[in-house]
Amino acid sequence: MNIDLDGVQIFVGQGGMPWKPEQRTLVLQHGAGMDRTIWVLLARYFARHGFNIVAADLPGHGASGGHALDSIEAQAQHLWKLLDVLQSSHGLPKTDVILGGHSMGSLLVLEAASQHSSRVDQLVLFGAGYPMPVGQALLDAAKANSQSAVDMIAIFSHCFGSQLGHNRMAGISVQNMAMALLERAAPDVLYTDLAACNNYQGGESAAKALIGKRCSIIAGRNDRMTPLKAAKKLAGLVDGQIDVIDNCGHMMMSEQPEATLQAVRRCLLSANQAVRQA
Amino acid sequence: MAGPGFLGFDTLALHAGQQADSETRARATPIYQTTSFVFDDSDKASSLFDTARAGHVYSRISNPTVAVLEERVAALEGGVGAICTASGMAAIHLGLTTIVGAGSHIVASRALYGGTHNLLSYTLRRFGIETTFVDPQDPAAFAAAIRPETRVIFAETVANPRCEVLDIPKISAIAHKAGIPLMIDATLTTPYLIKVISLGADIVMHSLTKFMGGHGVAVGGVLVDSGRFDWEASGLFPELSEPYDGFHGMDFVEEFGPAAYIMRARKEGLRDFGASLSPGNAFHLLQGLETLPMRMERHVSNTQHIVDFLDAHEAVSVVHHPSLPSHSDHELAKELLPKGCGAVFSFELEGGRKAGSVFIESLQLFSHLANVGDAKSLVIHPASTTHSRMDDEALDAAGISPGLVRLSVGLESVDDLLSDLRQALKRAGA
Repeated sequence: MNIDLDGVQIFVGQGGMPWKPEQRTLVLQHGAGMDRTIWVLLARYFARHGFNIVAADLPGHGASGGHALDSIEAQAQHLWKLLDVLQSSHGLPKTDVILGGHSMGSLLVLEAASQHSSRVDQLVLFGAGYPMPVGQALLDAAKANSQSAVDMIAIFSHCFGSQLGHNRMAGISVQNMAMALLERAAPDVLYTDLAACNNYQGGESAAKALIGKRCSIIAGRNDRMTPLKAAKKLAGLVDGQIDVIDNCGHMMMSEQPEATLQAVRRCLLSANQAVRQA
Repeated sequence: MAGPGFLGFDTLALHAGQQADSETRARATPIYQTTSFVFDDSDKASSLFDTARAGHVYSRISNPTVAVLEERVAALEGGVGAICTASGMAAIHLGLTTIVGAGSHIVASRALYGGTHNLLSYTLRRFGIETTFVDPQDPAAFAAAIRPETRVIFAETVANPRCEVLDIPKISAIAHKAGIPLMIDATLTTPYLIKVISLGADIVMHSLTKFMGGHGVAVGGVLVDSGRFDWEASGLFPELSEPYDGFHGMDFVEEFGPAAYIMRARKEGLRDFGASLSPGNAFHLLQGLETLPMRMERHVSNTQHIVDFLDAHEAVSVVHHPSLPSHSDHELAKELLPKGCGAVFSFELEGGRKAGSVFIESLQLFSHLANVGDAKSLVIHPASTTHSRMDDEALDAAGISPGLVRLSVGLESVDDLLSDLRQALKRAGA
């Protein structure tokens, strides 16, 4: 679905299913240089299991128009603006949402949750860590729009096993998929995103605003982009739980799709139980 | 743990697509000789059918053994994904019919494998798909042949038997300017000699029967998606960028982005045409693929010895191989194929059709048969076999002289191959 947001076309994936008023809303926010297609299996699964999926391309990414936003705070404000429009004019129920985000998207939803915590049910953070420093070599390569930036991310985002392959999605090379996706990003988008991650300093204050909110972190044991240590630090900050996936790097949705699905199910199911017990 | 950097070609040829399974820890890829796979529960079953979870359902659509081969070729080519098929021709058919239909038009090199030429000239025409054939050495001819209904340019990396080399960067630019993809048959060169995606090709196919498998024991094909073509921006491919009633209203670009083409080919083409590769053949082809780098090195070095020998032989009027300065694509080959131009080439005997026939019958080590890319050296004389119904005039129109002989150079000791050629040339009286 294409949405006009202040004159900019924003593409919103729904997991192949229309929204229903009685369903909960699960927002899935992609990371740096990528787009909503990283969520394809999770989006399609939960769209068929009682959730309204909002998997939007950020401005300047994927099928959305406009330019990449240069701060995590601006990205979070954009998300709320989009949700406002979807809830007021496009049939998305006006209920609390579950915010899920990968890598840069995890910072985005963390910040978004702090901006409007009353509208958030819970958070699920994939490949997350705080702070999220980006190496100068990668920043420089991205600033120069060099292929080496894509190469670095493709190498460091996948664990050794994923570089060998044996994907559950028959015939698909997860590493080459990530490269193709990053190569599609318009010039300067990747740098803008990486710089936004590197510069974000709102994690502590965001965490304070989230007291009482359920927050789950799904981490790859072999993640070299947001190492487990950084994920644990973030978990301490937000009083969250960590679900660690073995033989997995930063791209858990494609590297270990089944284990990631089960982890998300655990997050959402536990929340349901908590709600019921309350 | 390997250090930072992409895994090398030789490593990928051995390992890509496979990790020892948790149950048996088998080092070699097991043959999953099964038609179907048990669902854990009905939720998993419906999720697999909805492409909401990853896994295997039925071996016509995907199979674990075949999937290893698919992922391995995708890794070697630098593509986002691959589909193995029952033959190379099945790969071409699947590759084309995923994006063409009645009323579509194809621009193709006229220097193609005979089976491909038949498919494009006769069979697809019966289904309303027309092809214009052009000189592969004339990029302007490709551009001039493109019509509003053209949906793909198709050509081979190095043609057979005269070894015309395709200027892939130029033809790719022409295709992309027209908003259409370039599909390449890279069978004779393999990704070891040339990685066509890095040069601008969008879709690649191989007959795995040839050098990729390399041992003449299994027929198979593969289709590889580069993931680099922007189907949405082109606007010419509603098959990929609009909801498809034949698969739950799926919009493949919307759902799969860079993998839209290969996913549509699997969800529709394998499902409905059904030309899937058997797990047994996939296993045999995997064994061959493991040694592709070493074999291609030897194929190329043996070929160079033989090319030089024939080029200097008084009974040979011409050798068609791009490594020779006399070949019209010599400079282009040096640029695009620095590791070599493959091991299939042709030469012409002074004595014409009769000399060719005697020469073939005199060979002892070379096998006279209709195949290429085997570990063993092969030979055929088109004028007395594949093109025997043509008179000299018709052969000339097809670019095949009466004395033209095609070799596929194998891995034998090169001195033995040279001895065999020497004695056969002598007997042929050429």
